[in-house]
Amino acid sequence: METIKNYLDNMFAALLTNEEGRRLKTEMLSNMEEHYNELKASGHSENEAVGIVISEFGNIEELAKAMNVTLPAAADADKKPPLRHLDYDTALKYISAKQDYAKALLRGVPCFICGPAAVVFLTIPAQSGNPAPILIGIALLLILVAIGVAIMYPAVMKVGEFDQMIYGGGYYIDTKTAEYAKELYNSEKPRYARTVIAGVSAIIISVLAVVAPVLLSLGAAAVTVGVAVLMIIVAFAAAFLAKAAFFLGASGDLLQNSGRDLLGYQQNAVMNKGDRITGVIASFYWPIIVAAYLIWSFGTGDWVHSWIIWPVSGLVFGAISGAIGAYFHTINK
Amino acid sequence: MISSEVIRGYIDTMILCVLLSGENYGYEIGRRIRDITDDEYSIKETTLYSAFTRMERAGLIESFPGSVTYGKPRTYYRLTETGVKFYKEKCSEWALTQKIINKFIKE
Repeated sequence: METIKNYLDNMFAALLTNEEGRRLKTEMLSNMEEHYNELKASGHSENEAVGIVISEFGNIEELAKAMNVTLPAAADADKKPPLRHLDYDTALKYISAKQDYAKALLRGVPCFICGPAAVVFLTIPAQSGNPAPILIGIALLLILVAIGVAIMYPAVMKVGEFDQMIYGGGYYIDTKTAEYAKELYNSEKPRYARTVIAGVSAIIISVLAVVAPVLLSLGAAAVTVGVAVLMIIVAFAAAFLAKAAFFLGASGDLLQNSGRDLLGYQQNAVMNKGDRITGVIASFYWPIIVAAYLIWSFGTGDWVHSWIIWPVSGLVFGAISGAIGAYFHTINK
Repeated sequence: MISSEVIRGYIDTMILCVLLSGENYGYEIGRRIRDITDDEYSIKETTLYSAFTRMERAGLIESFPGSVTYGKPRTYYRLTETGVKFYKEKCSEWALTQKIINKFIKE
């Protein structure tokens, strides 16, 4: 409700010297409040209600004209930018770009993880002292990374086109868009829940691929195969989880960010900064880990233990990205 | 897609039609318009109040402090005789406009 009041203050700034202007502002605030309460009562969230109410405000110049008041044209140039209207067609394009991004993740993520898995698997024939399989593995890894990048790049760029619209100062969506996005969100939610259950179960069960050969003392080769299998299962589970999350987020984010004022914008921008820093760290972190794994394995020949580097570095990365996220979240408050 | 150009000439007619069934206040008039059009047309706040301002100046409607809703005193609007006359004129104007334009609508 505070956002609506601020919006109205901003809009009426030039009309408040006028008795009629003050009366109309009070009247319109009551109307917007009534509409807002109705929307809240019918199950809309705070942000949705604010977005819808603001989208139905209209154009202050129209009112000024009817009152025979001329608005100062350039006076509000240095004022904070008002929320912009994200129309239905743009919203559809945004949702479809995010969905395409989710689909690209489904195909791209396995490429990034299957490469290292191939290297791990090919260490078995390399143990005889022949480095050729490892070189093939590394070549395969590079090819898979290239394919992954080729899959992801267009989708990332397409989503990026909307950054300015979404993060560049706030937006609001109208009733039609809000209702469409809400319907989409609710229809996707059960599928997301199923994917999370299936994905997490798969990851938990995949640990058996490593634990079983260790417990049954099947030897180093079996354990290595287990690690490769674990990585492949995790790769596909992660891909499905990421796809489901971004697919749901396509409509969810649109709703959640609607009607946020500049405070929301700053929050988004700072959070975004955290994501970007995590991305930069990931870009050199993982190649270093791969190199460390290969150096350790080849240097000592200790293949039975060197695989431990994968789960450990995974946990460390999780902790780093978590800490960065938390840091950028707290400096906002 | 509704053409705002065309509809603008008939905003007053819509409001007058709602007021024909009794005096009312801003939000409720806006909601009636939304309901009557089955949500196909939702009038913007500024459009509504521009129309009130314009029509009150033209003597088509008059405002008066009405009952309190949600703890807020409301400005109510009611039709004047001139308003009723104007509404009838607009109705026959539209009937004629529609008749003429329809002759050119083939698709």
